[in-house]
Amino acid sequence: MKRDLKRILKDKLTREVLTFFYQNQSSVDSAGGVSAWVSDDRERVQSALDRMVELGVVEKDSMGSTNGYCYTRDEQIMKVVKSLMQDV
Amino acid sequence: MGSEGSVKMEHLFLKFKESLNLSREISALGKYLKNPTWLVLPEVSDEYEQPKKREVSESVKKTIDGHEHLRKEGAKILRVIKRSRKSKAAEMFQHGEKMHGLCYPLMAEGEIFGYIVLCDLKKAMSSDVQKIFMAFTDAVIHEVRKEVELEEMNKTIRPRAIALSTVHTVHRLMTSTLNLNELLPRIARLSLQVIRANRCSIKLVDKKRKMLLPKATIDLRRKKIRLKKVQIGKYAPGRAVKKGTPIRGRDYLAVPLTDEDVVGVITLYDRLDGKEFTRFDEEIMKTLSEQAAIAIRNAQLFMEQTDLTLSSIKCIAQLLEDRPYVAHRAEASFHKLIYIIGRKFNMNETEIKMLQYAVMLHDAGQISIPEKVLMKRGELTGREFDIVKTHPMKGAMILKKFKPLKPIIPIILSHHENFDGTGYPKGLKGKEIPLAARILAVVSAFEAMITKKPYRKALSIPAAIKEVRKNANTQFDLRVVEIFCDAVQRKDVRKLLEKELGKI
Repeated sequence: MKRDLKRILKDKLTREVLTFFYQNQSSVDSAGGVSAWVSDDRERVQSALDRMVELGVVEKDSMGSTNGYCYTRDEQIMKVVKSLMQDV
Repeated sequence: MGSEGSVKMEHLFLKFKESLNLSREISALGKYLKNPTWLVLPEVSDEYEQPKKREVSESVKKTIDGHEHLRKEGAKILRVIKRSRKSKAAEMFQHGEKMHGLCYPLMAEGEIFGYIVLCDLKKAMSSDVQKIFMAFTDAVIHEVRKEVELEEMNKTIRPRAIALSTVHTVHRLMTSTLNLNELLPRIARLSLQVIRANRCSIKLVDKKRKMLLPKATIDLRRKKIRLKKVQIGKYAPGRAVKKGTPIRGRDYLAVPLTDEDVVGVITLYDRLDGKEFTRFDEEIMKTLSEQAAIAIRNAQLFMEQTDLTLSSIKCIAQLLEDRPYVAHRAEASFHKLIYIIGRKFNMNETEIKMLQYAVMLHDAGQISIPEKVLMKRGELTGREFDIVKTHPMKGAMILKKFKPLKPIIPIILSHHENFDGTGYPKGLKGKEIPLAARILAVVSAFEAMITKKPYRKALSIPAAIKEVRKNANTQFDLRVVEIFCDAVQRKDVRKLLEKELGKI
């Protein structure tokens, strides 16, 4: 898990998106919303989110055309992210 | 000045010292003034107020450290700072061997946050040059202040904007479904996310019994959950509902779901960080619960509406069944059969539901056909058959007055069209016939075959299946026939069908 996360965090945008969720753990937002907070292109943010959903570090709640993304609530994953964030 | 104010002034000074515009000022005026020494000092009141005249403050010492030739001028510089501090204006001074200097206090909102001390001027600065210098410096201060204000605003606004965006997204997610069974766990999940708690439980009010009934509970620690009914007025959820206000304890937060009336309660337990629930959590949950209550009420109204529609449909179907020529239907097994076939054709829940309604009502138009025609033993005359052929159109005319059934009108209209184009009323062929109507054609024909009519015996299920297969590609769509035959031969469907037919 840590290795996979380290790998995807090599990408600057993915790191920024994860930092956003790490710093705003209560946030639930759409890809469009997240792209505004990290000031980047919506489609690029969408791919970064998809990668993080796959690893379980970000959770996705979907209904029809509405997708909400939020930070994981898995204790183990949160611990890994915390240690990685301290290294950044 | 309070400590918050002094922190703000220290921040302003640092920004000013690092500002690009100050470097530009130093570079532009420096050339004009023949390269004087620029000292930029912070306002440190305790240091500058020292009683001993010859002692030099730490800040001054630090600033002149890099300027060897000014080392002996510390006391003089401190004195001019004191003067400037008192007058809140530029003060001239002399130092070294015939050198001149100027101290200018840096001010914001009437408060001094630092000083620029110019040393090593070959001659005293004229009042015109002083004006230019001060205007330049004030412009830099103005820019820096704007920058700091913007930074401050961003610090305050950003978290609020993020919270607002969260509320908006949560609202969208909550209102995207009218299915209560889907909605309640979603509200619980989103509440857990926003408040970062371990457990969330949603209970709805049962007015008759004055109880709160558990409807959705999520525990992230995967603890075994006992879903308990709670009496209104008891425990935190019950008290929150009774009082109509949130009840907050160290490890729990119960917030009533209030629309026009209290419809239920959301209770959160144990924050992830182990801290106690705060007033801020309460405020956020109040906003979220208002949205949740509206979403729940909408879902409940939708369910009531759906029940009403279904009851009306059942009522019409019952009226049809009560006519002597219509056989009773095996309702549950046909619902199941339609569901299986619909899923095989990737139909969504609404499409399947409409197809189920169509199966119940497909012969509604027969109500306007004379009984003697419908019950006639033997072959119909051409005129009589023409009358029978009007029943899809008449059925559509009757049902279109009931708006929720609008989607089934094309299905009813086309369920007697044959796949090879020999059917009625329009003689549609192949895929010109809507898929749902092609399915209904097979299902209704099968249904007619296995039910007893006054003028003929019912066929057995295997015989009816054989008959359906025989008409594939002519009367029926082969693909529909294949899926239908697979579905009807499933053990569970067959068992249900036989059980229902036995009762009829």
